[in-house]
Amino acid sequence: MKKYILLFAITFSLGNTIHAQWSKGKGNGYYKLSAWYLQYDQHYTDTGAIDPNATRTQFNTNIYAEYGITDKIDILAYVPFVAVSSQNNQISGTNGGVIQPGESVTSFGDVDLGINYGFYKKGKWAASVKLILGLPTGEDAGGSDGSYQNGDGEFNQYLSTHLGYSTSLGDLPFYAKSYLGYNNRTEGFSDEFRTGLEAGINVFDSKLWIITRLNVVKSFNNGTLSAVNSNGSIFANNIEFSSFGFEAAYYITKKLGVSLGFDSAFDGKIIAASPSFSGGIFLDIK
Amino acid sequence: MKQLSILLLSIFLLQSCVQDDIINDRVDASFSITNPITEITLNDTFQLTTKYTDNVGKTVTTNITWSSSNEMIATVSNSGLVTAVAQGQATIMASIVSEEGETITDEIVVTVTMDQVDNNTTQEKTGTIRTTSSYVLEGTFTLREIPNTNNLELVINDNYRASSSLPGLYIYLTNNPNTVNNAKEIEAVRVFNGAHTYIIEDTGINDFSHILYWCKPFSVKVGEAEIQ
Repeated sequence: MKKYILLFAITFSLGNTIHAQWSKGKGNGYYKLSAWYLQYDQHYTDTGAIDPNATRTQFNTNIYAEYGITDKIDILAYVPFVAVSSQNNQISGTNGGVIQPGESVTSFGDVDLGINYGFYKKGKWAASVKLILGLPTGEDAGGSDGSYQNGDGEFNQYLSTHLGYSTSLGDLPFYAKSYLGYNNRTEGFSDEFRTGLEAGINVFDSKLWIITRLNVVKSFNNGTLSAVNSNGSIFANNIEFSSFGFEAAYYITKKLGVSLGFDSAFDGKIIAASPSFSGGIFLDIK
Repeated sequence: MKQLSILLLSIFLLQSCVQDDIINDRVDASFSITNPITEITLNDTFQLTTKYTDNVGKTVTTNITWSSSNEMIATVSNSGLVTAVAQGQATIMASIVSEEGETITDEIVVTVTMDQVDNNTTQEKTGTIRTTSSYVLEGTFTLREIPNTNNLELVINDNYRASSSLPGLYIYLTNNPNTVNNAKEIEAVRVFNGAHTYIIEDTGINDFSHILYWCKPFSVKVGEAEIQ
C-alpha cells in the first residue's frame, strides 16, 4: 500500500508545477521545498469498495527542482529527503491495554530524475515530452514486519506527453493542460497508464494562481506480483485511482512564493481513501 | 525566512506520527465445560476440564466451584473429577465469578450406567468462514484432534475462496474475533482457492472459539468463523 501512496505523492508533486509543459528556458528554473502528508484509516479495496484499516500516516519532505539547460530542454529532480511511514498504537477500548504497539520508520525516499523536452511552441499552444526515471532509493521493507515503506523497491520509467494552452479569461491569465503517459515498472509490478487534466487561473494582480487538477491511473494488470507476501510489500500492485485536487500558489515576490495543495481519490482500487495535503515554498526563476 | 521556519517546524512536529487507535474489542466473558459427557460407567471416573475467557477473550485461570445434584449417583471433586457411584442420573455443575462480579455457570447431565462407555474419543468441530470486509473470503472447514497427539488438523474444504489481493493475510485461532491479542497465529495464508490443511501444534480443540482471518500489515480483520 505504501508504494501507491508514494505514487500518489509523486504524481501530484511532479504534475504540480505551473506551466510544466512550457520549457523554463535556458538558465531558468523552478525550485520547491515542500511537505506532503497523508493519514488514512480506510482504503479502496480491489473491488473499489472502502474498508477500514489501522490508522497509517505517510509524510515526506521533499525538494523538487526543474532547470532549463537549453531553451527547450529542462532537467528535473524530485528528492524526498525525509520520508516517514507510521501506524498508530492499537489500544483496547475495554481495558486500555496495548494490543499492538505502533511503529514509525523514517528514511530517505525514492528519487525521481527526469528530462522534459518542449518540442512544440506556437502561439498559445505548447507541447512537450517528459521522461522520468524512478529510482528505488527509499526503504521498501521497514519496521518489524517489513510493511513500513518509504520506497517501492523498483526502477520505473515513465514517459509522458503534455499539451498545454494558455490564454486569458477577461484580464486574468488562464491555462489548461493535459497529459498522457505510460509507466513501465519492474520487479513484477504491473505497468500503468496515466492521464490527467489541469487548469489554472491567475488572480489578485498576478500574485495568486488557483489550480484544479484531475489525475487518473489505470493498471495494465500485466505484472507477476500478487499479494501473497507476509509483509504486504506488494499490496500496491495493480493500483488504480481517479483523483481531484486543488492548489493555491501565492507569489510573495516575483520569484518567491508559497503553495498549499489538496488531493483526494474519489475512485480507486487498492489505494488510501483519504485526502492528502501539501505545502511548500518555491523559487521561480524566469 | 519566516515561511521556511514554519515549514521546518511543521516537519519537526510531524516526525512523531504515532497516535492511538481505540479498538472495540469487548466480548462477553465466557465459561464452559469443554469436554462434556452424557454417560459414565459405574465406578469409573472422568476428569472434566473448563475454560474461562474474560471480556477481551483472554483465557484466565480462576477458582471453580463444582457441585453434584445427587452425590448418591455421582460425585465431583474440587478439581472436576467425576466419580460414578450408583446407577441413575445427576447434574454436575461448575461455576465461577467473573472479574466483573458476574456468576457464570455451566452444567452437564450425566447418566451412570452398567454399560461400558468410552469417553476418550477424538473430537471434531466444523464451521463456516465468512468475510467481514469487501474482500472475497468464504468456505467451510473441519477442525479435528489428531489421535495420540496434542495437535489439531484444520481442514479447509474445496469451497474455499479468498481474494488474492488481500495483503499479508494470516489465519489465527482466537476467543475474541475482534483482535489478534491473545490469539494463536497459525501461519500466513498461501492458498487462496480450494482445499488445504493446517496442522496446529500443542492446541486443544476447545481452547479457542473462532478462526480469524487477519490482514497483518494493516491490523484489520477481513474474515472469521465460529468453531462449532
